[in-house]
Amino acid sequence: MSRDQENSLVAKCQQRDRQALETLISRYERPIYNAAFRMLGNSDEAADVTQTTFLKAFENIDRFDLERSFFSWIYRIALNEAIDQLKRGKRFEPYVETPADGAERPFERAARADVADRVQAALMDINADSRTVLVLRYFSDCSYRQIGEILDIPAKTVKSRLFSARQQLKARLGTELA
Amino acid sequence: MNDERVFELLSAAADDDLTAAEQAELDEILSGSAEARRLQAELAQMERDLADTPELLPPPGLREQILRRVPQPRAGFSIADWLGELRFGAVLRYGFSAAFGALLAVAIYESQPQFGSASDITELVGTMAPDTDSNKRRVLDSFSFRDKGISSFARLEQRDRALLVDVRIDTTRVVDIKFDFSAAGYEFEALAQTLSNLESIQFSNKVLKVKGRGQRRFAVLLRSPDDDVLADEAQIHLEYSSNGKLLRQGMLSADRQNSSDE
Repeated sequence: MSRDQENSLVAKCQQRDRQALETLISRYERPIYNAAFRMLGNSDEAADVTQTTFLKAFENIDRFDLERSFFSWIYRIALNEAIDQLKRGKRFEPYVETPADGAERPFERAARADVADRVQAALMDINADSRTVLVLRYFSDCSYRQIGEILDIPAKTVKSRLFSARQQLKARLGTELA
Repeated sequence: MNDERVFELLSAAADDDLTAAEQAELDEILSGSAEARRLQAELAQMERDLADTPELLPPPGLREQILRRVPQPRAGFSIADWLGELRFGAVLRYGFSAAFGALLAVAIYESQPQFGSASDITELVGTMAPDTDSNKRRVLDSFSFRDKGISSFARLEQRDRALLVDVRIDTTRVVDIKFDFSAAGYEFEALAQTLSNLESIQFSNKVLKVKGRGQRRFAVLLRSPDDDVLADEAQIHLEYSSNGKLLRQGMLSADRQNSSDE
């Protein structure tokens, strides 16, 4: 979907076109959920953040500037929601497939888990700023420019954050990569 | 060789963001350093791991849930204006308004989340909690859990000097729920359930284990063996599992700030 097509849908949403709204939800439900899940490591919280993101977006759709990118706007809402959720603190353990006895230590658990679990565990172990740029780069396929738009930072800062984030992630994944 | 510089160049290379000069610098470093090549291989492996991490499907029904909660589009007329244009007199107009209000109330009630409505234990079998008419009920905490094929809601209430845990589950597979009251200072006293019985119930003073599948609702009554135990300090640990695999741990805590009298 081109930016023009997307903004045409947003303009229809501003005119209370229910069909356009459903199309936008269909387009963004999965990527927003995935970004939220990678930020939070928890399917329930990711679903809640996805829902809140759309509700906030449509609540404020009248204020959206059609000269801007809806993609960047809704991702910014989603990431802010996810970060707020992280700040509120987790009440429940993230869902990781582990034996019920809970005796296994995180490192041992990581060694047994598959690639996706190892990557997610490492992501959850780095700071939120670094996790955010990695999520946008690898799970949302964003360019430097798009990441900069979403986070409202210059492309140069995106580059340096990605450099630092990769260092952190590599350190967490450690010897697994040998 | 400066590791930091090499990693910086490799990171930029991963994003196709090297200038010609930087590319030449990196090539030279890589050709002369086994350590730099090892770092490059490690970074490449990390990139593959990230790329191999699968995209996830949102939970079934999430889209419909969002659509239900998004405010309906404003129509091109106002109901008040429309009523005002009717020429059937005030009585009919007010009657219509009242009917509309009732319909709206029903619609709002129907749109409540499945497990979000106020707790009413009268549908449970057996009398086990103090009479709600004469005792103020205080909702202390709640916990909801949703995963593939499983949805559950648990609420902790204070009923006089007893605690009540009201639990609802809706599952397509057998789920085990373990309640650990050992940190609550309270002990298990009774369990009441709807006519759809749980598959199994095991309990001791401090731990209750139940097994259920499909739509089940039950309530657990806890009492303090000691009058000095304060309800406000109670904590109950929950554990959901299926086929021996832990799905979720949670806690109902009486000392949260969101308690409300009902």
